[in-house]
Amino acid sequence: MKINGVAIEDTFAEAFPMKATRILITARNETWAEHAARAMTGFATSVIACGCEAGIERRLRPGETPDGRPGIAVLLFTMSNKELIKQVQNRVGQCVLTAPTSACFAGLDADAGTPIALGKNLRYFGDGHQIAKKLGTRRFWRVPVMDGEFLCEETTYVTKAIGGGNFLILARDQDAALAASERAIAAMQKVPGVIMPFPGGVVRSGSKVGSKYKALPASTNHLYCPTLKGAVASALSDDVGAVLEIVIDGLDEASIDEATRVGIRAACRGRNHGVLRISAGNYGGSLGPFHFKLRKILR
Amino acid sequence: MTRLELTLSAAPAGALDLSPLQPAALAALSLERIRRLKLHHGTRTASVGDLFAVNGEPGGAIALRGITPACFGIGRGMAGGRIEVSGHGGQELGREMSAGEIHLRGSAGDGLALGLRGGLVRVKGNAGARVGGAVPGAVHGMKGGTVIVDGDIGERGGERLRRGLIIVGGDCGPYLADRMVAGTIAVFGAAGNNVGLGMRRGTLLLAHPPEVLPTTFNPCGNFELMFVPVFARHVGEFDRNYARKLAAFATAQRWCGDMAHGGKGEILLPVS
Repeated sequence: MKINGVAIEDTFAEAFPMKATRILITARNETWAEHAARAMTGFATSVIACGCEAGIERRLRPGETPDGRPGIAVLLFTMSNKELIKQVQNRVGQCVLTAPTSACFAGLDADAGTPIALGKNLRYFGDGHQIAKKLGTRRFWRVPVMDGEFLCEETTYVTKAIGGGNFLILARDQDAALAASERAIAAMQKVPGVIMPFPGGVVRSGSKVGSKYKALPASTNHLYCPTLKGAVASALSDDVGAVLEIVIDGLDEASIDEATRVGIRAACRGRNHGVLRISAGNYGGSLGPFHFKLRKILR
Repeated sequence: MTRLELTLSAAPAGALDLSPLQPAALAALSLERIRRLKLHHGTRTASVGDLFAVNGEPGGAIALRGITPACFGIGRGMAGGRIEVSGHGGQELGREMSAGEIHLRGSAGDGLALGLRGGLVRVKGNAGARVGGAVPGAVHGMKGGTVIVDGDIGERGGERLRRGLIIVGGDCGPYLADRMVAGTIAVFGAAGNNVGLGMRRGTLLLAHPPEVLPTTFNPCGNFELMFVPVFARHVGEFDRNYARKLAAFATAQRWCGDMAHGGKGEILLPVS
C-alpha cells in the first residue's frame, strides 16, 4: 500500500486501556486560558514519569463554554482512577486556580462515567469564605482569590479511554521527518477526542520495553535509531536518515482511527516530502488489547 | 401527550384540598374512578365528580381549570409529572414537591412552593407571602428546585431558604430572604425593605434594591463574577428573557452580610 509514493507498512499500533477526563478552562481572553492550559498540561508526556498524559484537545469559542468566555478543552489520561484524581487535583490546583481570571468546568457529561473531585477539595483554599452554588444537577464552588473569584465545578467525570496509539514517520533526513510530523500534527489537532501528548505532538525518543540496565523499564528503540544502522540489526533501510513518532491518546477507538488517518495522509502530502515509509510501534500484539492496523485505517 | 382535564364546576363553599389530584395518583385510574375520588371540602368530603367536570385521558399531565383561592394543596408532595393550573393557584401550591412541574396561568395565594425540594413551579401572575418558605414547624424553607413568578410576590419570600432558586419578575414585599441559609433569589422588580435580615449564606440579585440596605450588610466593591454568566445560562433553560436580564449583573456591586450572622451571604446589585 502506498500513499503519494510513501509505503505504508502492514503493521499496527498497539494501545492500552486508560482512564481519562476532559476539563474546560476559561479565562478573560484566549491568552490567559492558554497560559492556564499550557501550565496544566505541562510535564505530562508519558505516564512513565509524569503521572499522566495530558494535552490541549481544542480551543473553545465563547459560545461553547459555560461562562461565555474563550476557553480551552484539555484531556488528561492516566492508568487508574486513583492517579487521575491526584493529577486533576494537583494540576488544577497549581496551574488553573493560580492563573488570573481563570475558571474551570467539567468537560464530560455525568453519564460519561464516574465522578471525581474537580473543585470539591480545592474549595478549601477559600478558608471558609468559599460559596457553593448548585444549579440544576451541577454544583459549583466560588473561591475568593486576589483578582476576584475562582469559579470551579465540583466534579468532573472519568471515562474509559485508550492510550498509546501511534505511527512512525521514516524519512530521508531530519528536516523531512520534522516537516512531515508538523503537517500531521496540524491535521490531527482538528480531530476531537484526542491529544498528542509529546512536545509539539511529536516524540523522537521512541522506546522499547526493557533495558540492559536493570533499573530501567524502557530504553531507546535501537532498531529505529539511524546512527546504529551499522551496529545492530536495524529496522531501517539505508535511505532512512531520521524517524519521528506521533503518539495518540484518545477517548475511543474511532477518534484514534481518525487521528491516525488524517495524520498519515497529511505527513505524506506534497512533493519532495522526503517521507519514505510509515510504520507503527507494537509489542507483537500480546500486551495491548487495542490494535490500530495502518492499512485498514487508511483503506 | 395525554392530558386529564378537571374543570371546577362551581366555586367551593369551603377550603378545598386538591392535593390528591396528582399525575402519578390518577395515572392508572379510569375517569369514572377519578370522579368517585373523595376530596376534603370544608369540614366534609365531596367526590371529584360533584366538584369538577372530568374529561380527557389519565396517564399524562393534569390540567386544573377554574381554580379559586379557596383551593389549596395543589401538587403537595408531588414526586413527578406535570400539573397545569388556570384561574388561581390556591394556597400552598407545590408545597414540599420533590420533582415534576407545576405551571400556573394566574396568581397564587400564600405559601407558594413551601418547603419545595425539587422540580419547577412556574407562575404567570403574582404570588402571596412566604414564597419558598418553611412549612410550619420546619427549620428550613425550600431545599431545592426552582420557582419562577412573573409578577409580584408578597412578604417574606425565600424565608429560611436552604437551597434552590427563586426568580421574581416583578416586585417583592418586605423581609425577602429573611434568615436565608443558602440558595439564590433574583428579583427583577423593586425589592421591599429589610432584605436579607439574618441571612447566613446565599445570594440575592436585586435589579432594583430598596433605597437603603440593612446596616448589617457591608459593601465589597464592583466585580465581574463568573458565577453570573453561568447562572444566567442555567436560568436560560427556564426562561431566556430572565437570562438576558441577568446581563445587567455582568458587573455587580457586591454587599456581604448579614454581618450579625457570619456575613457569608451576599447581595448583588447591577452596576449601570
